Amino acid sequence: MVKVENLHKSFGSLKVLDGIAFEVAKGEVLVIIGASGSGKSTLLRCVNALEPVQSGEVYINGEAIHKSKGRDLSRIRTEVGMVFQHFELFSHKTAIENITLAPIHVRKLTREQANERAMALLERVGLPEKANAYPSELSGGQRQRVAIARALAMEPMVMMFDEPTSALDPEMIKEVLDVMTDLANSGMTMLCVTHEMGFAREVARRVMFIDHGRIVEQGAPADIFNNPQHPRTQAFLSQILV
Amino acid sequence: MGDIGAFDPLKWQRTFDYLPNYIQGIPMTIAISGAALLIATLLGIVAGVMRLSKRSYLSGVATVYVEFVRNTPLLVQLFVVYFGLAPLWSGNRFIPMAIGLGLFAGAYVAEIVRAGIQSISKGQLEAALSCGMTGTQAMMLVILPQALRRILPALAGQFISLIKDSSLISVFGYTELTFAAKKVTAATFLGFHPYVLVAGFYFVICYPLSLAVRAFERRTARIG
Ligand SMILES: Nc1ncnc2c1ncn2[C@@H]1O[C@H](COP(=O)(O)OP(=O)(O)O)[C@@H](O)[C@H]1O
Ligand SMILES: [Mg+2]
Repeated sequence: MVKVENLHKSFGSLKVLDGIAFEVAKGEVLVIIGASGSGKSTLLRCVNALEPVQSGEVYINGEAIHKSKGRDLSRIRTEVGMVFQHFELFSHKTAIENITLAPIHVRKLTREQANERAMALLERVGLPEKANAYPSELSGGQRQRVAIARALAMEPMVMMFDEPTSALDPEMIKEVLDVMTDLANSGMTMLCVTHEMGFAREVARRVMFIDHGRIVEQGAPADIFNNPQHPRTQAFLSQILV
Repeated sequence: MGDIGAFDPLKWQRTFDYLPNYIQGIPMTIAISGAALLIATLLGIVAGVMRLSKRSYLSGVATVYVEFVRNTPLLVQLFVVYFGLAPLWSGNRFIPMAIGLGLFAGAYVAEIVRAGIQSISKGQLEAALSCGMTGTQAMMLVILPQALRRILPALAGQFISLIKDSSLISVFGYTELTFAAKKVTAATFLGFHPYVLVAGFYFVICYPLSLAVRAFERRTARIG
């Protein structure tokens, strides 16, 4: 479903991704962990080509997104939903308009079709009553759930989450994780950067630890969390698992 | 102020005799400012977006335009445009004057638009792109609407400036507000009173606009 090969990325002289390679199978949930600045966000951004890479390849369902341009690139991106740390809802649009904007203008759905789907998605994330609220009128947890619905509205094959709960107050984290868990259980292929260990243990098939732009260690959540092999993984986990 | 008779009722009386001239000038001033604003807004949006383009010939053209306008006097620009374009519309002075004012204000609008776009976080663009929008769609559907709403007060301020700057076109004999004062001066040999009155008219037009802008800002605060 997602295949990354030998990815290298630098910002000037700063090497951020240093030969990353992995695959995510259909229906698989991959959780990526690593210290701040280790390149997790950059990796996700390279997967849907928001960031150009210096070398390496990224395939989405067999299509080479790293070489694509223009309309082709946009079309492949519709297969990759993305959820951001800071939600990035369109502030001039209501919740439902946020969800219908791309389906109407990219998928060319009619407004009625798009609205119907959007309402179903709002039900799914538990916010049907907020359809006409503006982002500024929603709590952080609600915003993030709308952002998830917005990404789902394009019916992507893969969903990527970049620390979706780290900008949230503690009491709102669960409502977002519940939606993500539900999504995983429905068979969605997911790449999640998150330090929510409970979620990772319960939902992830695989956990991947990244340090300085390299994959240091990966495996089943139980193995990584209970029995990390690499000293750097051990050091990182001892910091975040209190 | 003894000499000029600032409080001389007779002089005011003679000035107010020409009230109809002023009244006639108001719609002219508003029409030319409105037309210029329309030109300035369209031009400013295009030039503002162009200035941020990665293609250097686009940003280059926009930069030359903005810098040229901002570093030459408006009155000189008006003369250049007026004498340069007037032959294209034989007899119609409105169009070249509106274009002259619009070209001038457009450069300032371009800078406002550019700052507005830059004030929208990069994450908004990325969210739009990740939904499968093209760069153009992201600009038209996500970035510009937010940027324009954010800069609306500045644009309205620009409109108020345009109304004031439009007084310069009185030099072309166009019968707008300031020209009315000129005419009264010519007819009555009064200098002070007609211009005080015309200042009052400008204030009466511009001040409510300023208030309306502030009210609008309060009303849209909800969208944030
Ligand atoms: N656009 C950019 N320009 C320059 N440096 C960047 C840019 N984006 C990220 N970086 C740098 O790349 C490194 C990895 O960043 P990031 O991928 O955001 O890490 P993480 O998400 O793991 O915290 C950091 O040192 C960061 O400062
Ligand atoms: Mg990050």
